[in-house]
Amino acid sequence: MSTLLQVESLGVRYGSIPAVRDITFYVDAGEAVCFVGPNGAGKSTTVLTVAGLLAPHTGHIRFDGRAIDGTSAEDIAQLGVSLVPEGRRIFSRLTVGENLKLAKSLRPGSAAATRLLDRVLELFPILRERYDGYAGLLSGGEQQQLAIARALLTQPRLLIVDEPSLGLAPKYVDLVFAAFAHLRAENMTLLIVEQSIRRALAFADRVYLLRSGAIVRHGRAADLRGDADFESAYFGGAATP
Amino acid sequence: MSPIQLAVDALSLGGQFALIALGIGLIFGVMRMINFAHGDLITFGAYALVVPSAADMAVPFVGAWSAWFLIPSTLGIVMLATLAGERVAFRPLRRRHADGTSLLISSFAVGYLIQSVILFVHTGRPKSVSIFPGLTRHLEIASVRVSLIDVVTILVTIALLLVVLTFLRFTRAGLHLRAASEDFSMAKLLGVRADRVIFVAFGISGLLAGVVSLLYVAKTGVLDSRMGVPLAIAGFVGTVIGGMGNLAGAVAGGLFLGIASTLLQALLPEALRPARDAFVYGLVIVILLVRPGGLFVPRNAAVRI
Repeated sequence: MSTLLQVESLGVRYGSIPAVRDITFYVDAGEAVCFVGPNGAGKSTTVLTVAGLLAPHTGHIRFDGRAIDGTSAEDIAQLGVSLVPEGRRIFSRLTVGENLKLAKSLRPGSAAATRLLDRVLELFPILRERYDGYAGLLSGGEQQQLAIARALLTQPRLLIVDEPSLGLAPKYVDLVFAAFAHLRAENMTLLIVEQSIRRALAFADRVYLLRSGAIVRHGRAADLRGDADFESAYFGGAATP
Repeated sequence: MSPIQLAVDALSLGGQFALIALGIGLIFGVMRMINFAHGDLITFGAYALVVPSAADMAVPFVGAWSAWFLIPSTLGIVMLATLAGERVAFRPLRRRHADGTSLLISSFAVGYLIQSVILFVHTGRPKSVSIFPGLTRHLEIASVRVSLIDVVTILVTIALLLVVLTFLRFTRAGLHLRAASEDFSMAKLLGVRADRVIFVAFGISGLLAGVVSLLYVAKTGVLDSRMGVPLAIAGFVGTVIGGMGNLAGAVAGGLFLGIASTLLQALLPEALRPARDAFVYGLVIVILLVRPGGLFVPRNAAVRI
């Protein structure tokens, strides 16, 4: 498996306050990786930096072998990194269809894009029903589906989703993770930020645990399941790196 | 004044304010910056009609050409000036992640630069110029005399708003611009090209400023180095009461302000008419106290959880 995303010694600051310190991680092509950790651990800061919305203070980010630290968000998106940020951030004044068309227009001209739209609407059928309605009128769970569908239509090589289950009813969380499982089966590379350890360990190939801006544990999900030390590290106990 | 005359006057002024508010609103949408230079770009377009000179008597330059050349030339000049302002004064600041205050000050600087150059070249004395003299005559509608330029202003405003709104609604660039107006960083995360969207916004804003230059000069026949300032303020207020970042709201806000000004001018007791603007802006304060987000914030603006 080739490494798609390689992040080395990443440091990010908000002004003089360090939010992320010396983080190193990688995501292989076709892998599903989860970041877990409590609020303020630096998970969202890390993925926003990978996507180009924040500038790294130290370290390097490489995507498919190419340095992308300092590259603009739109260029990183064009290279094939798509981030569904926390809070979904769908365009509420556009219709559901316009949100999807916008994403589709960024990879224009191919019949494959139209087939992809059909596939995405099969994955999230509620979006077909609400296609002509304003996106702002969707429920939170429906908005999350739209945000993921929109990201998929940009034909990413790496899909990053920040807190997909935040504020959602359990049935929507199940639906969203079922969609991730579907994408994973199709070899999509996924980096998911998730607060629920149980869900992350059940879903991912590998898991990184972040706390206070640093990676405190990582490993294969299969190895970490039932590891009391890992759970203790999540809740602030001593961690064995 | 007859109701028809009043309606034509109100819609004519409201239409101009709507075009200005849309021009300001387009740039605010993508930059979160109020471009106070917008009014001075209108002034710049108006002065492009005459030969640069300190003489009191204006000699027509672009204004002497036939409408086929005069209109596209004036629009082109104002669009180029608007795009040049973006390239020189705003883009470098944006690239350095300057905050909104720096951009705002930069827009003031661009505006004052334009005013100062005009003052230097043309002096501060107002000049008169006549374009489209046929438009100054009056029409009889239901035995009421209305000014042809006001009717033309209304028709041009409607046509232009339809063109711009159709562009925004049905083209790829328009879709990108609407999305970027709502959440620019999310649009960039999807791969929307920031520079391209901002270029389109400034281009359309310049086009709208150029149209207002022509309509204003055709109606008043006067050039003044500060003529654009009150127009920009009216457009800005229209944008705010329509709901910042909401383009249809900006149009409605500008229209509302023009109609309110005209109605107050006609309906206030004669002794109070000199204080018309005090009533207009008092009304604006009341509106903002009651609806701080603007009069025309869309129903779908609130995000459901």
